[in-house]
Amino acid sequence: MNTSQPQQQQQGGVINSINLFMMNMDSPATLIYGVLLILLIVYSSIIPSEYRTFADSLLGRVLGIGIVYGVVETLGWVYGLLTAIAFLLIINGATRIDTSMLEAFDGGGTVSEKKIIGKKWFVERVLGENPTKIATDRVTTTAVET
Amino acid sequence: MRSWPSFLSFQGTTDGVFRAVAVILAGVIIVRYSTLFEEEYSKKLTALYIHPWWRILVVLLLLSSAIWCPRVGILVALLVFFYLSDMNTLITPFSDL
Repeated sequence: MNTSQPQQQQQGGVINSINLFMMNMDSPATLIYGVLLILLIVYSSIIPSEYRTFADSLLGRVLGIGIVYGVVETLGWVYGLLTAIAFLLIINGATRIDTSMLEAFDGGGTVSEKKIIGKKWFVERVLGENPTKIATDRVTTTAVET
Repeated sequence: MRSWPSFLSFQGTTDGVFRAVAVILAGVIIVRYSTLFEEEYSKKLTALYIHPWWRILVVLLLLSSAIWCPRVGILVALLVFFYLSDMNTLITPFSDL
């Protein structure tokens, strides 16, 4: 039996599809960047406020827009879209005003302000509030007339 | 006859019809729910947000939409952004806003 004939490799449709898929796949570095972007979007709510505040500054915004533009130009618009969403979610949660010294109640001069004494109220602990003053600790009520 | 610009053309194929339906559906959801912060999401969407796997699925939906059709992808991206940002705002303590 003559065995000198060249062996032809037979490939099924699935193998061809996988080969085609592997050839058209992005590079590992690009894929890792994509996975990191997905994680950034998914866990955007736990990004510290310092980073958000920087991203919301003039320099941060210019950098962010530059990064989005660079990604669109180099990696394609799909990665650029993901980058843009991640950037928007980061600056969306930035604190717009400094609430550390802002009180919800203002004495306005007519009400005697009182200093905080003792432990925090339960609601203050739950909401993470740090009040510095109390406008009033008395409430005037009137009877309901029927 | 005047034809649509290429980026707005969905062609007459089944795929084109599905793309048009997806665009209209996403547009209606954006106008009805996403652009109004006071308009509440359904309880299931609200409850599912806290699960990371759900948010990963949402981002994968965006990714597959963008790969399928750029027009659908952009609208779904708007949807996903509004959903994630609204839910993120809702779970943030009032003092941190």
